[in-house]
Amino acid sequence: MANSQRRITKELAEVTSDPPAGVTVSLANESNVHEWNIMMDGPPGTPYAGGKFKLLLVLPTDYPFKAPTLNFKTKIWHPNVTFDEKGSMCLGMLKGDVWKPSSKIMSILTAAQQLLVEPNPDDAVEASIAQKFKEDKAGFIKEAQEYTKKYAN
Amino acid sequence: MSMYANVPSQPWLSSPPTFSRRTTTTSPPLSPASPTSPTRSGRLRGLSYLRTYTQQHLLSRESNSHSSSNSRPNLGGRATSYPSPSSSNRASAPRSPLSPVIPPSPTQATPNRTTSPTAQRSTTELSPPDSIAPTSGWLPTVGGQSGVSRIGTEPQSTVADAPSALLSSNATSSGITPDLSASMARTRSETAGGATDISRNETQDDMSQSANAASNANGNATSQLPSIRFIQHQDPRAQRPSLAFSPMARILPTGKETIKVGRYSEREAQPVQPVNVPSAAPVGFKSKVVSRRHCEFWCAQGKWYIKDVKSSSGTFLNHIRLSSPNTESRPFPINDGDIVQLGIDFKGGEEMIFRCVKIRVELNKGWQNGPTSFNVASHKRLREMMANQSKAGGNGTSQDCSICLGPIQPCQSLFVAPCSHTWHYKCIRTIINGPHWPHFQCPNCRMVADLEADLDDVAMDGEWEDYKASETDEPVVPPAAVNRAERQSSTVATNGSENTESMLAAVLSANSNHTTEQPAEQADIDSEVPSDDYDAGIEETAEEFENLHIHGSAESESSTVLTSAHTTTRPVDIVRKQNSSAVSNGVGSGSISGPGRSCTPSPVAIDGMGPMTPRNDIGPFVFDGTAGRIAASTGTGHSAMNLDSAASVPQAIPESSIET
Repeated sequence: MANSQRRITKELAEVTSDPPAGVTVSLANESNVHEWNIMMDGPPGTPYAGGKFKLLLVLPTDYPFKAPTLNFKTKIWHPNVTFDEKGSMCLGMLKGDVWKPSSKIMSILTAAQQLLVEPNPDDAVEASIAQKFKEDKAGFIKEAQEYTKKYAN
Repeated sequence: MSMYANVPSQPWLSSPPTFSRRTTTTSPPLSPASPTSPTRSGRLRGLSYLRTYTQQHLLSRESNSHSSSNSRPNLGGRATSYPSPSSSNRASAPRSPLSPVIPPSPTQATPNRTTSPTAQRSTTELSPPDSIAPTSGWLPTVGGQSGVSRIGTEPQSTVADAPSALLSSNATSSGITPDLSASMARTRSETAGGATDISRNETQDDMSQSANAASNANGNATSQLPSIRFIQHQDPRAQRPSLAFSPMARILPTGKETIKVGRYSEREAQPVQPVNVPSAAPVGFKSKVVSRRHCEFWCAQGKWYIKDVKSSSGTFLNHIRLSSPNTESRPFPINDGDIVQLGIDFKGGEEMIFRCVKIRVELNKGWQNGPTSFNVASHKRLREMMANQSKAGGNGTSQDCSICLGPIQPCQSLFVAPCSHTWHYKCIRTIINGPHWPHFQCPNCRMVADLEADLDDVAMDGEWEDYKASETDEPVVPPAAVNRAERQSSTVATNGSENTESMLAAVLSANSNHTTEQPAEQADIDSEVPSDDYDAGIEETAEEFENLHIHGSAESESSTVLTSAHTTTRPVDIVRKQNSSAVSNGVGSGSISGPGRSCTPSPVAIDGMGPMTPRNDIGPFVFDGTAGRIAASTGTGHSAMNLDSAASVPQAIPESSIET
């Protein structure tokens, strides 16, 4: 798996040297390049603004042939993220049949950010939140802000 | 001397019934010499065929010959004794003229031989076989056997002694003797065959030219460091596999180092280095049958040598043991593609740790990995292709491999999908060989390709044809490549040529009368000796390739005659002549200085091709036969040269690509 390690270190260097705005990346464990800690600021103009979200990116051993997984370690109230300890995120490009080895981690991070800006209620993992997002936008924003204050500080 | 030459030639010609055909064929070149040249192309093709055949079967043959070791000693004895029956005087006399020529002969001999021993031996007595031996699969058996027996059974002393004696008999050549004896020590045959060939072939002008080329070449040679690569060899006939190891390469930092080969030990374990960094680190094999100090490789004047350093279980060069247990062997020259075996399977070789090591050595191939006009051009084409592709709507990221994100560069193994996306083969392999085989989904664009699809089904519309045509217009053989080839060949040639030159000149003047006759004589001799050894199967093949064989033998033995034929019958442009002379010199000197290098790039490189691998100068994506056209344009001129080289350089296959 030397091959995957080389690619991962390459991507890590790329992301750390030129990260997307509001994102910082570090290794969860210096000896293991397969687990990345990601600190993501809530994008401004969203109910998550001002919050700092911690995510864990796990790269499989056969990366890039298998998609990585991205989990919110900080609880976030969002239609596409499970509102539990796991914080599983439903990101289209990370699905097994959509993932392409040519996709890069940089694009995953920007996609995650984009998902915070534009939730996708049609492909939600938290149906109640999605329903609220669709039917009561103001209420959704307010509630999301509250949870952001509560957990993401 | 003239008397000697005449006397032997006649009786021998008539005597061997089996080879009468051959002898007759050879003889015409001697007198008119012209007939050979016109037929060249056809013969060349045959030669190429022979060569490929050799490649496929030579190794196995050798193993066969090895197994039938009983016959060998006899052959060797026979071969050596052969001249004597006629009468010691007679035998020595015909040879003596040849002997002065010796220096050039080494060139030819060394490049020729796939197996060093064979070639050396062959030159002496069976000049035709040895020249051909490398090329043709069937001859090697004979040559190999005799060579084996010779080298294996007979120490050098015989060889060395004989030539010196011969020389002494020659009043003219006496001055040359010391040099000759040194060179001859290795092989008497070389002297006889090669020396005669060169001396006769070349006029003094040619020789001077070649000398110049050689000297020029030397300067260039230093820039290229000698390199050696150890590749696992699996004998297809072996009962069980030999020790498995991954290829190891060494590039001598200064060219003076000795590479020690022995049992791998953790203590001396070398940190893994990139292959392209010069290093003379010891090479270790994890096998109990390998002694801690087993053998050594070194390079002198472009030629690689091997020596057993008191190994207990032996070092085998092309199946011939170099020394008895725990004794040090003399240096043996090795050639690209030789098989070196360390030790013998122990306890039946059941366990990996008890298996012998079989190595295929690759010598001085560094130039193949450097940027050449060919690989740079094809890479450029590839980049353009990918650029177009990404413009067309792919993800316009880059020409990097999307798997490892590394750049795609020349000299990498690549995989190009039908959608023109390209990756390193190593990177994409998991997808190619994945569960969906033979269906391949491009990880970039998701286009699915059937990798087992019939290649003829690809629809060709007119547009694509046009594109192809325009593509092929580019010059196929870039000047740089040619230059390099010339340079290399010249480098190879340098050492031997100067010494040889003067000697040759002397020889020529002395022998000028006999030149025509002697080659025929030799051919006869050669043919006779091997005839006994042939088995029925070989004979059949021999008949099939009779023309080739004759031609080859003529080339090798009486190269003088042939060359003269070229020059006289066909107008040859000067450039070509220079090349050929350089080649021949290079070959001859190569035996002395460094056959490995000489044989590798020199002769064939002129055509823009590598020694071992047929090279498609047009690039991987054009298969419209332009290569053949190019060869045709340049080929006629070079074909003669190629033949020479073909005879001398057994392993070069490239002709086949040219011809077809």
